[in-house]
Amino acid sequence: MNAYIEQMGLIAPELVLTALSLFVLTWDLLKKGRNSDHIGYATLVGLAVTGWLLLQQWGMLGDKGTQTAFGMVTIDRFGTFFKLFTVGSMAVVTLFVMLDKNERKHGIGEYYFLLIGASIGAFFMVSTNNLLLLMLGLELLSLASYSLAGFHKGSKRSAEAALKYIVFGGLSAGVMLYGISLLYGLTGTLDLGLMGHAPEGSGAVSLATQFDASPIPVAIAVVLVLAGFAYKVSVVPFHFWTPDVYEGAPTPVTTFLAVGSKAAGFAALLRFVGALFLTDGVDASIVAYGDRIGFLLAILAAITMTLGNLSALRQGSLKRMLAYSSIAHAGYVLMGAASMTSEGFAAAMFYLAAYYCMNLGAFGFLIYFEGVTGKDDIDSLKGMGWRHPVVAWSMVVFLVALTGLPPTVGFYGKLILFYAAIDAGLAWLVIIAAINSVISLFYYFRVAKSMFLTEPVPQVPMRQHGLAGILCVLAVVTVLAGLGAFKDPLRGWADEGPASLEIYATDAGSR
Amino acid sequence: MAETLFYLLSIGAIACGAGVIRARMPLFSVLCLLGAFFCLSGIYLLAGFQFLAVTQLLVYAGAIMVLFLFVIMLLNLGDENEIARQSGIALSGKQLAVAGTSAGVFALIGVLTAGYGIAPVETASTRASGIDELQTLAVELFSRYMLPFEAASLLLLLTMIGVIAIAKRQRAGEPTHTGAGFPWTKEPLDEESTL
Repeated sequence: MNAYIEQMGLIAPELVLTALSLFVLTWDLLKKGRNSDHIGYATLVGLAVTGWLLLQQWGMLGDKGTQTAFGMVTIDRFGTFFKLFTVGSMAVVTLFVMLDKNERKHGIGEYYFLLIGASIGAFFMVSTNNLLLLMLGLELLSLASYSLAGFHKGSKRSAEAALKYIVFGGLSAGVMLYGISLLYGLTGTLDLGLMGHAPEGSGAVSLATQFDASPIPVAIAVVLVLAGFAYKVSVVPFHFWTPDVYEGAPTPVTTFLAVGSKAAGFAALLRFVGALFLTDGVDASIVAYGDRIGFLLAILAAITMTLGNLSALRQGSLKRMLAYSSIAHAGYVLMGAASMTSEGFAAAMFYLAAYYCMNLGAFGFLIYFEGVTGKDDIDSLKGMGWRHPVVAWSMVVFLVALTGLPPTVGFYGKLILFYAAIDAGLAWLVIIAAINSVISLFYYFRVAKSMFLTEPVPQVPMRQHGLAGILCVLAVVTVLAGLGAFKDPLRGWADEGPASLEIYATDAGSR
Repeated sequence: MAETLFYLLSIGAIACGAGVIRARMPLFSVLCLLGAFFCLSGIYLLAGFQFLAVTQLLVYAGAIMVLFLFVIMLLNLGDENEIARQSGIALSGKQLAVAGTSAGVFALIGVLTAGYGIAPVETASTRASGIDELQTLAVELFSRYMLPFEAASLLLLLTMIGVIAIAKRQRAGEPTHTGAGFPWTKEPLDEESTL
């Protein structure tokens, strides 16, 4: 019994979130659809408790090392890193929902419920080595996202977004499940650790053994699962849903999709690839195959960033531009995974942390801007810089970070990504990424130019101090996280991740 | 014998699956899906999973498909082109086809990266025995797989709420929004709404 309670303690953050989601739902019912802001505050309190529990867990992991609950939930620093950022981004998204002028304020308890449900899904996704639980987490996240994308019922674009998302998402889930069932059939286990390295008497066959006997089924299975992840993080051949869904969904939801959902997908991808190909104890043959998978990911990364950036150049709507920019950023993060080293994984984690800050900010600006003008095209930005200087300058900070220029965290994130990729022998990919960063400068700069260098169009003067304050804080964080005093601890946290996955640190010479 | 049956059922399942996509009348799609479920449960039987086969028939073919049929009959849905025109939402079939093909090409790349040679696979899961007994199934479900079981219940709840949130009617006279949420933001509100 005590062991049972101890295990419940390990998944306490998930339990708190589940309780919170049910509380939110019931409270909204009891209040009969009156003002939902109280529910927003309750959500924030719940998220704060979850965050505190996660911090406790982070400290506990330093003493005791990786723990497993119920044989499925792996509590390690890799997962906790992503959980902390999920909670942080959820809190910001909750504030966005409360402050968004285009959002109903009554009877939207379901909105908060679905958001919390999505983050529970993300929690399970980032902290399990079991493919069954991973799939359940992914579906929790996806189904909540589908419903949220269609939450603006009167809007045709919102309905279209939800429909497209669910059709594409259903297809991708099917593809991924097919891959998982093949993996299960081949190895006899759903545990990624056992797939990578199956000790005698575990009743499982390691993937390497099966790979030596018959490479093709293994390859098909691995690639199909990767395709499922690629949909989730919108990597290029599977990115079609992204611009339409991001455009049609309510903007706070878009923020969550672009930030929380994408990072969770990447976390699961890194864990999957790491456990199968890079963990201590996997056989040499499968490691060699892992290098080829790495090459495949490198090609996808190159195509993704190029296509994302080139499409973003042509967009007139700020929301669609940010959607394509998020595709391009998926390409950058994929570089880290493609390098197939612990440095590469740590760099990808650091970049995702940077991505949380700058994209939350950019989408927050979009919400502010939509609240002021009711439009989302770049031309309507004219004169924002003079009418709303604080918000506009914050946006400039986010744009600089997204482009990857110093002194922001975006610059440092890209720098360590590039270093990791060069160490892994992917210099060509780094050159492509550098060219892409220059391309991205054009469309990010177009926004800044529109805000500051053009004549203001007449508009109703209106201020939203709450949102402006959040954007300011995010901008400060984006800059500070790129500077020495704050960037080094963050770097340290990111380095803990691959270490806790027991991914061996390779030196460039041996590869 | 079993092998021939397996191939027959597989071909049947694939053909029915193709029929689901190809049929232009929703009713035919549903009937094809029903056929696919029957073929699948036949495959389960061949593999020795009687319980799964019966559940498949009872739950999917029995309950869910009847529900589908009811909805289609009640809504009196006709040709799917008609539906697309009425709803005005163009779900680009081309994009979907590209995405599906990409998955296929992706799988092909997987084959190419793996190299050569197809050897028969001795699957590890064939060694698992006793999984079909109901008792074993129940014990496993509530011991080893308790957490996923609970997660699945959360998933169902979430789906239900999501569907209700989308489907429920907005009450008449309910304001679409009342402005910013914080007490210290008391600005005039714009009357525009995305709804």
